[in-house]
Amino acid sequence: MENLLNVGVGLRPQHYSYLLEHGPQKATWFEVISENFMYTEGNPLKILEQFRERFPLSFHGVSLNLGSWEELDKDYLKRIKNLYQRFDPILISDHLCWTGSSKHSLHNLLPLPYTEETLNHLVSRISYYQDFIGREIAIENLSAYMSTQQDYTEWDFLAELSKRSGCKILLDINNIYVNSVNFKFNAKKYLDAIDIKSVSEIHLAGHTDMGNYLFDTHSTKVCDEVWKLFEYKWKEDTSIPTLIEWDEDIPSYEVLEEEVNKALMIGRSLHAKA
Amino acid sequence: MQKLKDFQKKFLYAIDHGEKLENINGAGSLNSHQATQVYKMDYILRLSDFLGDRFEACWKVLGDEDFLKSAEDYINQTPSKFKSLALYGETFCDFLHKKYQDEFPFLRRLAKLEWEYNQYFNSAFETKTIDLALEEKLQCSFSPLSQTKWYTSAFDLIYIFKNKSNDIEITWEDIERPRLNLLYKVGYQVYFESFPVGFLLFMELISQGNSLEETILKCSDLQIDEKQWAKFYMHFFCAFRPSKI
Repeated sequence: MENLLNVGVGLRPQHYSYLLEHGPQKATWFEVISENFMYTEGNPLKILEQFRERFPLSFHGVSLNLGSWEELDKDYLKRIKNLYQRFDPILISDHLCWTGSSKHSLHNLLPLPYTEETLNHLVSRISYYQDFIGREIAIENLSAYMSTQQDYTEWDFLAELSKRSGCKILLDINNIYVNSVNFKFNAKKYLDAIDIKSVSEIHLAGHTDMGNYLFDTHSTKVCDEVWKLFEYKWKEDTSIPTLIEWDEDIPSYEVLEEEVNKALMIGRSLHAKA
Repeated sequence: MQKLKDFQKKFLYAIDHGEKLENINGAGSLNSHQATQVYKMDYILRLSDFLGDRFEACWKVLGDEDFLKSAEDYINQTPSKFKSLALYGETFCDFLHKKYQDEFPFLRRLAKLEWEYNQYFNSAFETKTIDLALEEKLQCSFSPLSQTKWYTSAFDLIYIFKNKSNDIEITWEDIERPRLNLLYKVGYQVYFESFPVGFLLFMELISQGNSLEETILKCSDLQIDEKQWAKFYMHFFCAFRPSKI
């Protein structure tokens, strides 16, 4: 059963040397940030090729800017298509967000109004993107620090987006937990609304309590509440690949493997109960 | 798409001008203004971190307070238009120069050096022709054998660059000496070398069509030790060939 549990780690430069020398212990795949390899022809690509020869890779984008009212950036699309063709990732993904305009990029994942207008806009953009790339994309829910006009709850919006556009969902459990605390809703209600068949990947990460709100920092271990929510959803299908993310105050690679092991223990426990 | 467009335009305006957005709910107990500020501060911090990483030697020269204040001022004046942060900050060199030209006259060249280092780092393995700063000065053209750039500086910028990440305190005495610098790439690695500026005479004589023997003879008064000559020869003849010889 163990080999049905696919738990990976977000690949960061701090761990390149260690992983190329020792390899992972329990992690079976790695995820990279697409943009880190789209604007270089140098050493980063060479290193990525070394990883690609040894491990399955998924590519996670942060700048597609799907939700912007402006046209999709054609140069960006060409570059990301070239990257995918070169590395043939197991999964590709980006976010349910916008990131700024052509005159001002905020390099952040910005919240959208969950309206019919936004939904129609995103469906059309995702369809165009998937046709252009020639494969299915997974869209990740994000942590937000404000909400605006809504015709839909976030979970209904995401579920409907997947249904209408044919995209998959990258379910970030930590983001759901952060939003559930920040905007006072039941996280299990969110998880229940998402059809497990539409989920192609799960993200787990840590956040920081800022006192008056939770902030998605990816700078700590996954908290107990998020592990519980993960178990609650993963039991529906433990074959869904799961990723441990850590982007700030990055610890030694062994610490990430401890988190991988926690996920595997949950998987084993779910298999035992089944 | 009018409502989505309006929301996004107002959002960007609020970030740029520090104003609050109407009709939004802040996370937790944040009010509208505080919620907007979360995104504003995240933007400043993200780009400051990036500039600090890209211009680490300038950071060491200026110290934490001045560098971070400069970074924030620059970010507020210069919105990023890029998909990747890696493309942001080319004009930071000029920004620092305007602010610190009297105090640190070498800062623009140092910042430019750090920018070019990164350009080289991210360039392809293959050899390609680049412009050489000395072409105009020496009135000849060169055909680089690999990605190579020679340039002079009134201060030892390479010394600062090589000590940017350690605790060594950099004094004026350490850097107040004109240097001939070489930035080059071999395979995937980028290298810096720094030579006494006297080697310029060697380059000028060679480019004027003097033989190697004549050139060495005419350079014998430079009072440069043999080890420096050996290092210079190696880099000069390996890094590029003057095309008029």
